[in-house]
Amino acid sequence: MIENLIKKDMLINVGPQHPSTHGVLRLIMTLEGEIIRDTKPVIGYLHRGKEKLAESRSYTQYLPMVDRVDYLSSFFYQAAYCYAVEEIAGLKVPKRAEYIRLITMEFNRIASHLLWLGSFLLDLGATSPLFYVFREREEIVTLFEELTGQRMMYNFYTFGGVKKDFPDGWIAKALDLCKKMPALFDEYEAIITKNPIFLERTKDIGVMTPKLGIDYGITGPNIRASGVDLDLRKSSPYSVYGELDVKPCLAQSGDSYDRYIVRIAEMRESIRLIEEAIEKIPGGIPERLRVKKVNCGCNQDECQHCGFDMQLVGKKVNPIVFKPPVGEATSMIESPRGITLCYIVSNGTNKPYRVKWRTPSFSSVQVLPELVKDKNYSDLMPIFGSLDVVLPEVDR
Amino acid sequence: MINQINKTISAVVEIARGMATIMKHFFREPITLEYPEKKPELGERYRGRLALLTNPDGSDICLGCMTCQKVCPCVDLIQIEKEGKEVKEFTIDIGRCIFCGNCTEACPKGALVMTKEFELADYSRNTLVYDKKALTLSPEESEKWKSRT
Repeated sequence: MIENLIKKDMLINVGPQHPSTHGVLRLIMTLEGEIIRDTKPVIGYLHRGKEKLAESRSYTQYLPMVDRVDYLSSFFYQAAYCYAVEEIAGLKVPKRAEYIRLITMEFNRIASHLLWLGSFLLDLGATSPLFYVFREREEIVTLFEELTGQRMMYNFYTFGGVKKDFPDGWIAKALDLCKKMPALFDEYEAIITKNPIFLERTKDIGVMTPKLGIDYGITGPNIRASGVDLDLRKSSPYSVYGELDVKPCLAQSGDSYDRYIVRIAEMRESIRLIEEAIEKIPGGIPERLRVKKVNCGCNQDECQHCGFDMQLVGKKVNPIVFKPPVGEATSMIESPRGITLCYIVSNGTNKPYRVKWRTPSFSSVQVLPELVKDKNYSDLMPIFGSLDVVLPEVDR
Repeated sequence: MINQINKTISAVVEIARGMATIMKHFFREPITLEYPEKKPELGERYRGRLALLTNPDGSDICLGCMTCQKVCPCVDLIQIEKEGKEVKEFTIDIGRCIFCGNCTEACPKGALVMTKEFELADYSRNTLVYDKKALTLSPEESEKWKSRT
């Protein structure tokens, strides 16, 4: 009789409130004993109508709301939105502004991956790394606070550039942090990478073959862990990534462990990119640039000290009467979770006719039932955690 | 059998290495702040509660041009009532404000600033609606905020 009971499929409900989902996701699972036979993700608990809200607000009014699509990587979403609007309106972005965007975006990528690392290990039952990553993230967030005025919802980019220059001493602090970071990543790796318990739980678990990943539209570190070389920073550079030497971080087998390895490698790569960008930024340190601007004062476009490329905003737009011409534009960004796409249709008024977001986490949630099928229930969290799903981004 | 022993030994070594790294943290300074007693140093650009500035003689800088209202993403958050040229009423519902800073950037006169005040918890929603009197800073304080930008 007990055997009959065990053989019967059991329906259980994971979520909507679950500590490892970065929000609220509900999974309806059919279990046979401890083996997962079927999974149905139920999304929409965090739906705020971000796409619809755009239709009743002007371009500038919608700008702060973009931050809230994904609160862990706000800079990327603002960048995607700004690039799309700039394409419609034909605004040019000065080089210095592009470099400031790049540096902030790469710092944001590290902050996002750090938080993922902490929460992923928390899912596996390791609590102390969570505090270590928050300690490091705090330093990045403090840098952002000094630069933009807030810790999470930055609202820092604007159409045609950025709102403010680096404050005095910011670049020195950023370089100090870049020097300190690799040693801290070594520390995480000493704790995690070869830990036998971690290896047992993640190695060969949740293997995503390149075909499965491509079929489901998985992008970002998740697909790079399967060995597919897809990195927009390298393949179709959008900001000034073309001027920098971007090396995609790849792994082979596509299991949970490889997704961890790829993200750690990406954080190191980001540190290198920031250092390279700070070296190459036109105008250099803001204090010196200010003095040079005053001394030169020629106001010619090609000038090395006060030319177009040294500006923060190419052409200032009036926030109320800014009306891009009729048209549509798409912009793609390599965000920490994958490819973020923003599609805007303008009908010539000061409000967008349609804004569409393509968010990478949405695909990651879709592939979850395939990955956990016929696996043990205890493998659910190592697989789901490694996909780095942020729910506000799925529901938006 | 030998495999098993090797695996066990390497596991013990790796766990010991991890634990040694964790032990190092015992001798580091804590980075947390004991919040209500010690307060964090906020940056110059911090975006806190909104405030209205005044001229040195005590008159309003705000002209009532409604630019702040038009760029605010939260519709009807800022409400301005004018009587002739004078701004009679200026209310901001801080409870609904998302602290984006759009209004302070758009203000043509620089009359609206974001202060460093962030402890805004209150017992009811009605008390979070700040009227002109609560928002306006004194002339001395205004001078301090003007020099900031």
